[in-house]
Amino acid sequence: MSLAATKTPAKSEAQSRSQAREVRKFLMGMAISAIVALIAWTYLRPLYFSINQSLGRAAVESDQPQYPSSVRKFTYQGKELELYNVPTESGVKQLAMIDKSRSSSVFIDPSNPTQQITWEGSWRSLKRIYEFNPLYSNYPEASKQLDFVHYFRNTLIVSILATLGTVLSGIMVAYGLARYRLPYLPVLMGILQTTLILPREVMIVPTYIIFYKLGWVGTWLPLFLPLFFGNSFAIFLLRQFFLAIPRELDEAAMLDGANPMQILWKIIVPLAGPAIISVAIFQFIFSWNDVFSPVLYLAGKDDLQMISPALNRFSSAYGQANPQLTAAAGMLASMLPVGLFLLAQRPYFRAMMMPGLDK
Amino acid sequence: MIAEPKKHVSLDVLERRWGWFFISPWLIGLVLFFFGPMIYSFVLSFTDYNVVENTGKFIGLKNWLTIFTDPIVQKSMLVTLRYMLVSVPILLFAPFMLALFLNSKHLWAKGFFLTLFFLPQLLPPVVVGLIWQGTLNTRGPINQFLESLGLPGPSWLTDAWAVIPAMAIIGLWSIGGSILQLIAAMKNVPGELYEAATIDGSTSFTSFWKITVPLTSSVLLFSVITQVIAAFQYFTIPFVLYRGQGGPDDAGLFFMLMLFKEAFQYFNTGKASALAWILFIVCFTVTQALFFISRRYVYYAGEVRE
Repeated sequence: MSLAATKTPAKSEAQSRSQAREVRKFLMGMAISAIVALIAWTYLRPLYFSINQSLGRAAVESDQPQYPSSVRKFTYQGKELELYNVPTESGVKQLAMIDKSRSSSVFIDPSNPTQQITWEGSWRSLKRIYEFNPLYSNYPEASKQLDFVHYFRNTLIVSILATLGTVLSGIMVAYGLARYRLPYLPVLMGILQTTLILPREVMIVPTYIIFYKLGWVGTWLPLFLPLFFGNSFAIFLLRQFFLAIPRELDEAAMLDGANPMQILWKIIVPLAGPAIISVAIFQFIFSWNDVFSPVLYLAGKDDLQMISPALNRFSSAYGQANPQLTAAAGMLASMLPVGLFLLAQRPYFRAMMMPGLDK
Repeated sequence: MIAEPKKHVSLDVLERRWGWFFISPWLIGLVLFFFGPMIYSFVLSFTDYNVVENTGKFIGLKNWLTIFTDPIVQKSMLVTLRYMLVSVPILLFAPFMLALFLNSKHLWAKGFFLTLFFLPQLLPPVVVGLIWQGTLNTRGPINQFLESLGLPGPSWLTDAWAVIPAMAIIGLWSIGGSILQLIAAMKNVPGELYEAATIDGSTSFTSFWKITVPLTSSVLLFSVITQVIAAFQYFTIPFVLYRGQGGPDDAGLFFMLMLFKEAFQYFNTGKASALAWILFIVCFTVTQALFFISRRYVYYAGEVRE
């Protein structure tokens, strides 16, 4: 009995100490998370602004709140009247304006519309009442004006072809570089690493000349065909992954009479699934978002043009007068890459971890 | 059975043949799309060739010397350099701070926050340009914020002096990759190091300076070099914001934009070839420096882990 009595307070003391630690940990977590949330909110503020803009109206009043909104109206005798916050003797009231003038204005109370109220003072000092009222119709409107479906289709086809080329050639070349004792392998790897880090912009003038001579300018060929001849990023990433697959698997299959092609497709590719998905997603998003190549090779070819240059031209034409349509079109163009990323973050992050590719 | 050794030799040759077969697409691609164009454009860089009119004659080193003689070329190099000076420190410090926060053991929902900081990088660059065009508008949210603090908001995109700072601010939307690499580097630092330091009486502040910073410094250095290359290829954002021109007083005429104009608006193919080669040499040098550093880094990290 006495033993139990001495034990209990000791236990609760330890318990309360660990409880205090828990509380401290919780508070620390809350504080740091709050700071990070605040930074993230600031960081993404322009995106929030743009989403609001895409649901807003062409003309934005100076007193308008930042969310998509319109002035609250009161319909009386077939007329739409704007509601104002009007200070009266019995506090601030929401009144509908009938007639405005510099020194006094006439209002009615929506709850008692038959009685007119005259308010002394400049109506400009009064604040209008805004309500949340997003204009979802901006999206179909922007889609129609931009001919979004047409460019979406073009971009989708080119991105899929580019991804296909990158994956197919990447698998083959990476396997060759990972498994075969080729002469000059260090030299080949050096070339691979150099082309990996060198920005493609460096090559744009020389390759343009070649594509021009080949008659490829004004077609989709420059945007995807070179990728069937290897993309250093895909080759490098897949090679790293293939190197980690035990060689014994290849050898066992070889003893069973499989040829190298069969080994590659039946054994290596299934095992390298995650790496291949990383490469595919990365290339797809890269091709989808690309503006440099399509601007260059598809200038003036509206029937073949991709979404980014089309959007850029759309904003030049509509940006000033209709910023809400440009913003909505931008959101439409972003949906596929952002959606893909949200679905497959892990493979995307894996591809991004490659040094020198954070472009 | 007797033929065994001979078969081995032929297998080796056969194996090698398979190897060449597998890498053949890449080798063909290298010749067609890398070495071939590079050599051809090197030859063209000594001519005043025009790809559309298909005319040109040998003019010697004149194209290469434009970096000393042509004021537009010099202006673009100055713009690029100025951008580097402003953006590199920002793009080094900001991802480092964010990586510290995102790597904190106290932070809730790490994956969610990482996704948020990564999100802008997934947007098409044209959309990024358009979003910032609205954000940096004279009456946009940034200037509204400055106004609320009683500060005068500049006309970010049309005041020549504000162009580079504006570009650097926009550059903050591309730090996802750096954050990721820094977090990986911080995770690589063995926890025992911090524990040992704490036992030895080190405060978390000294641990930070004596452990975290040195052990991530290679990634930081790597990041600097990547930023330098990125500055040279900086194209899409100024291209979108200034409609393919140089912006106010050519303050946004980045090297790549100038190169693009020379090559594809004026079709001075010879001159553009020389400028592209200069760009290539700069980037190649920087890249080799990068390899040198990263090789040392790999060695360094391996040693720590043991």
